[in-house]
Formats: sequence, C-alpha cells, structure tokens
Amino acid sequence: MLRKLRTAQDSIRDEASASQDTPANSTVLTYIIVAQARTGSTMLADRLRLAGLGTPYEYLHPQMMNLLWHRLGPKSARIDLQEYMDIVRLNRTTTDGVFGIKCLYTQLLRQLGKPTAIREFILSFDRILLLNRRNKLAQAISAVRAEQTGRWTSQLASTDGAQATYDPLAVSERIHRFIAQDRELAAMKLAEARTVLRFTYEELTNSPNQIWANIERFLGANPGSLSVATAVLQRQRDTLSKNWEQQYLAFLKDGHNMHSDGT
Amino acid sequence: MLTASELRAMRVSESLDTCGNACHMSYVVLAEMRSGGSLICDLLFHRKAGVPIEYLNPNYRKDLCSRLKIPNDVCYLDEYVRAIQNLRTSSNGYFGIHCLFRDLSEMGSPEVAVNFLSRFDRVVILTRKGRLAQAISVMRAQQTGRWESGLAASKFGLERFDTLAISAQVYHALQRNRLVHALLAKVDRPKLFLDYESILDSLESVWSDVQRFVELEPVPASDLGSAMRRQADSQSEEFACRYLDFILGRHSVNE
Repeated sequence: MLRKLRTAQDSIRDEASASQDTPANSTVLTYIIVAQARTGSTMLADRLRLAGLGTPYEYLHPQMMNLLWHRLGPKSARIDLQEYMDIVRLNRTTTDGVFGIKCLYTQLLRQLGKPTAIREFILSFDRILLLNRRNKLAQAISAVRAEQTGRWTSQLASTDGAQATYDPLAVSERIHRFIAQDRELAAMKLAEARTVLRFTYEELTNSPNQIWANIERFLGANPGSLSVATAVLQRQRDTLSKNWEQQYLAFLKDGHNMHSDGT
Repeated sequence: MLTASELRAMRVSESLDTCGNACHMSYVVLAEMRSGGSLICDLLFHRKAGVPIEYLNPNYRKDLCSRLKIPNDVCYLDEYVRAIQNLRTSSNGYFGIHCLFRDLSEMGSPEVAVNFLSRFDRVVILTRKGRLAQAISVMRAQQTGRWESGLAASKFGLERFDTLAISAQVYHALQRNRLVHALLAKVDRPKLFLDYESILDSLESVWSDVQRFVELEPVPASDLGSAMRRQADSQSEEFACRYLDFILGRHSVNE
C-alpha cells in the first residue's frame, strides 16, 4: 500500500519525535555519514536504521536541532552543540550500542564553521562513511529540483504543488558548490586519521550488494543485515532530469536554451 | 612582449592623454570577460574613437586615481569618470570606456551602476554564448596573465586544468549576466547587443555595426592594424572535454 506523501517538515517532525527515542543504551560504536546532498545518503541511512544499525538521521539539521533541544534539552534557548550531541547520543543509541548520525556537508559548515572544527567533529566518531557523487551535473539537477519542489525524497510531497523550472544559473551554482565541497573534504585528509569508508552514489546504485557488504564489514555488522533490510525510497531521476542534463550541456557548449534575458 | 602590468603602466600613462577636447559622443563597451571586448575596444582606439580601456579595473583605477589625485572610492565615481573624460576624449570628440560586467556588479548598488551607464550616449553590450569556452579562457588567462594575445605569460604562470576554477567562472559569469541584464532594463540609452560568436563568424560585419552605432564612418577592421588574435587553441578544447567528462562523472578517480 502506498504511504501518504508528507512534506519535508512533517518528515523531520517524525524523526525528532519521542517515538524514535531509544532507552539509554551504552554506546559501543559511533559512526557518521558525511555526505553531500543528492548522493543517496537518505536511502543509505534508511537502510542502516531498518537494519538496526543506529538511527542515523540528520541531527544537525536546524529544524531537527530545535525540536530535539526543546524536547530533551535543558530548556535554554541557545543550543550548545556538545551538550546537544550528548543528548542525541543518549536518546538515539540502539539496543546493540550503535549510534549513527548523517550530516550533509552544508550542515557541518553551518554548525561548525571552520574546516578544523568540522574535521575535529567528524573524527570524534569511531567510523566515518564518506559519500559523494561522481556525476556532478546529475547531482546538481537533482538538488535544484528538490529545492524548487521540496521533494527531497521520493516519499515527500511537493511544497504547495511547486513545479521544477530549468535554471542554468541554479545548476551552475550547485555544480560549483559540490566541487568546492569535495575539495574541502579532501583537504581534511580524514583517511589519514581514522578508518574511513568512501563510496559514491554511482557505486551505491550500480553495485548495491557490494556496498552493503563493505558497510557491514566496516561497521562490524552481521553479514547480510543490510541487504535484507527493505528500504522504501526510490530513485527520483526521470526523463525531466535527463532533459535538463541535455539542455545544460548544450548551454555550456553553445549557449543554447538560454532564458530571454540572455542567461 | 609586454606583461599585463607593463601594458597597464603604458595605458594609464600620460602618453595616451588627449587633454581638453569637448566630448560629442560617449560610449561604454560593457563586456563579459573573454567575450571580445578588448578586440572591439582596440579597433575603436585604432579608429581614433577615444581611448576605451578598462578604467574601472581596480588596478587601472588605483593608478589613475593616484595620478589624478582623486580618492579611489565609489563615492567619487562621477568625479573620476569626469576626469577621465577630460583626459581621454579624442580630438574628434569621442570618449569611450571598456567596462566589464564584473566592474558593474562591484559598484556597490544597482542605482550607482544604472547612473554610471546612463551617463553614456551609447551602450555596446558584449556577451558570449559558449559558457564553457569562456570559463576556460578566463581560467587560463588568470593562471598565465595572458589576458590578450600580445601579452607575455607571467613568470610563474603555469596552466593547469582546474575543475573548481572552471565551475566558478561558469557560475559567476551567469550570475553577473543576470544582474547586468536587470540593470540594463533600467538604462534608457541606445544599446547594441553583440556576442563573441558573431565576432568569430564575421568580425567585419560586427565591426561595421559598432561603427554605425557610434556614428563613425565605416573603415574595415582589416585596415586598422589591430594586432589582437584569438587565443583559444587545442589546449582549450582539451580542457573543455575534460570538464564535461568531469561533471558527467566520467573522469578518473584521482582527477
């Protein structure tokens, strides 16, 4: 049966609700998924959660932070990140002692600012999963469409019926941002300091079983635990995305399909 | 061969001053980077229609403000342009400026930019359709200092393929283009829209349009002796292919 489509805000409210809390379990393994937007990280986190390997939501999402802090925090207005993370860990460690978090790079930047602080935060976890996407154009188009419509996952409804509109400026901005983020993360040299598992959206979608097996080994999970978990999210790339890709490539080469204002 | 700073020193020097001529026709060549603006301005210079150089380029402006004893501040933009007009109007009454979209977008406020453009009798706008080729051209010029074909490469200017630099240039060019077109909609002056690709197709035809637009008797570009040449080469094409491969995820892991 199809689930009723929700908005992104509904989804975050669900994820921050008490129904997702766990009893105060002691933590034996912590991990962080560091991802860019539109790299399959929600699908990955969904599968890890369904396999019982933590509840790796976007705990650094501003709305999530507000909701959890006001429900579980010390009632002060200003969120203390260290205290907040302690509270999240206490309430979201699964019975087998796994605590996971998923962070978009933009969220790390917003909460921690400097690369040194971001690096320190990431290295405070036992395991680091780094996820990016090789096809920057497809990633950028996916990000622009999601931003315009509010449909960040296949399960979410569009915001007020918003339609996607091809915009080469927005696509160019996203490509540039994703390339810059890749470079900033690479400069942190995380792999030199901690056990890191890197993989791409393309590997995740083309060879999922191989990636699940790698992640199981990496997190010390039972073999097969990820591959048997049934995630509900679907790929969103469709003919409109492919059409935008063609338009953008033509635009880069010859300036075709420009807006009336010359852009 | 001159370096970019040597060329600038020559262009801001008294050797190009034409002091005290009354201005009968003022124009601005408002161009994106690497869109053929320097070539059009060079032809206008050789046609003796003023000395249209990048007076708003921060380095040029700094040097000229120092020479003219005007504070180098956007608050003094009017005074600066008036002083330049007095200094660089040719004997036939032409005064021109080569202004980049970037210069306009850095004027502080849209009102200042609109007022600046509105002071000219004619506005020539130059853009480029091939955004990738343009971005690669900007990147290569930034790396080498070879902003024009006649310039020598700077001492340490090594060319290298840089996806971040190219993506930044594509993005910034589009951003500025959108901003400038919004400003131009508020400028009530005759405008001539041109693009780099048309110059490549037929320089003489574009040059003829420019001359007619600023009320000059037509003289073929080939008679004017401009030494500027197209700089794109096989390296540019290779970089373009590599960038497309990169954004489509077809690159090697280490790139």
